[in-house]
Amino acid sequence: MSYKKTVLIVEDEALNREILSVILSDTYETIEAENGMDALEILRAHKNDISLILLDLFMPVMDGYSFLDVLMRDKELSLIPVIVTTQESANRVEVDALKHGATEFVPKPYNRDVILNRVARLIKFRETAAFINQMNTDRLTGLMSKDYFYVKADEMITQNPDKEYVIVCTDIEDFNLYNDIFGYEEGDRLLVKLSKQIRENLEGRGICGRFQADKFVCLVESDYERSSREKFVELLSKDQIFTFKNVRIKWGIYEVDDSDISVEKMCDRAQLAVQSIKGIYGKYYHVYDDALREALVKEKRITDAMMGALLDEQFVVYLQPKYNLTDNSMNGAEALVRWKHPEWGMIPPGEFIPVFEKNALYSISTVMYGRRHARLSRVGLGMVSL
Amino acid sequence: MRVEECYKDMGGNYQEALGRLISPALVEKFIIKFLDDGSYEALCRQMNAGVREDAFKAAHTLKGVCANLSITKLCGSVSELTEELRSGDAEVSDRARELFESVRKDYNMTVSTIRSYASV
Repeated sequence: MSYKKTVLIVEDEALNREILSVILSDTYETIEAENGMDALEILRAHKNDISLILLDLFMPVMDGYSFLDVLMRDKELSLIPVIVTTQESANRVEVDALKHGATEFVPKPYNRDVILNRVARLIKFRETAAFINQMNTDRLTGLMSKDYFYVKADEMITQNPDKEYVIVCTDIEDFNLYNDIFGYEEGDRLLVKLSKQIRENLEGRGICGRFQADKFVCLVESDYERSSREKFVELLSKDQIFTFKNVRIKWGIYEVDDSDISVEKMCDRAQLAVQSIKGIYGKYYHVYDDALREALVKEKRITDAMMGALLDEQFVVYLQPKYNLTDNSMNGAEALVRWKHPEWGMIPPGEFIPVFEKNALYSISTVMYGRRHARLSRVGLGMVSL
Repeated sequence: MRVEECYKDMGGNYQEALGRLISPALVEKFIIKFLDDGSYEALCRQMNAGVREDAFKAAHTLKGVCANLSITKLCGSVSELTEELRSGDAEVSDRARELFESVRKDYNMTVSTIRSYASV
């Protein structure tokens, strides 16, 4: 069984109302109102159930124009499409109704096919628009969705070549832990609060989207004497949102200097900037720059090469002997590892150990060097501890 | 009730009404409802009161009902009256009163035709 959508018929003449009901009844549920006032009352009670309004213009108590005026002032009700029924052939009436917010017309006397087609088309159009709107909006915070943000940010940047922009993205430290301790509802409340704060601080100078969980991304116009990023971050910190319920929020910033780079990439770079200060105490924002890029590229190169290097045994162990001062005997050695890469040459441990640690390769390498230690014992160094 | 003949006798367009309401039974139901419709009485009251704008609104409403039921003959005379009342002095003109007489005549003919068919 298919669900019927509801059309509100607003018409003072009972016979006309009934005829409209008959025309629509095969396809729709109908509710009837005798005048604008009654219609508003019905709408307030059933606003989510009504898909379309068919409106007569000339009615006692509250006519069609006054009804449209009230309707259009209401954020939610104004989204319901209105078809005006008119027996006036004069364009003026139609233009007036349009000015008051009507969406469409149907002539009187009623033409069954015209009415059914226009009603169906408008309901479909409205639903598509509502669906698109839903797709474009993050349900929790009302901010833009990721894809919509990309489209809008790209539009802003390309349409305003004279303006300078920055992309700012957030990272809430240990947000998962926050959810875990305080519950998801409280986590959502934090996100809503943060989204409001961001929106206020944008002051209409930019747009903001929520990409996922605690990842907010903004495109902000930078037209301040000082760079807007500092101003933006300062505004947020002033409101102590950085330390709201002991939650630390960090910001990654990418300054748009090349509009040929895709917005996705710009957002990625802002993300990289914020990731680079994750876990670093007292540092709340970081600006993406070439140094960061180079460091990341280097890290990537190491990550790509490390497994092969371990298997190839490109790592050289130097043993620094440890002597017992009382009897001058060697009672151990400190193992120092160097990476002897066939192309890059000797790489000090400071560069690759942290990367290894990040990638859980540290434990693997420890095991492998343990084996080598065993081999060293066999070649005659005796049992020295490393 | 032979509703198609009724339409012919009162100068209406049965096919048009049927196109709107689809079933002959519904056309019949609505044409009988027209007997109880108050828009003609409302027009009579406003013509007596003599305020042109109010009379215009009443004529406009009756015209709409006749058009939707495809009572073509009556719709024609009401339409002429409506246009006469659309603009002018604050009071109903003599010309409008003349036109109203045609409306009265057509209305009486229409309702007596419907009644004669309805009672069969």
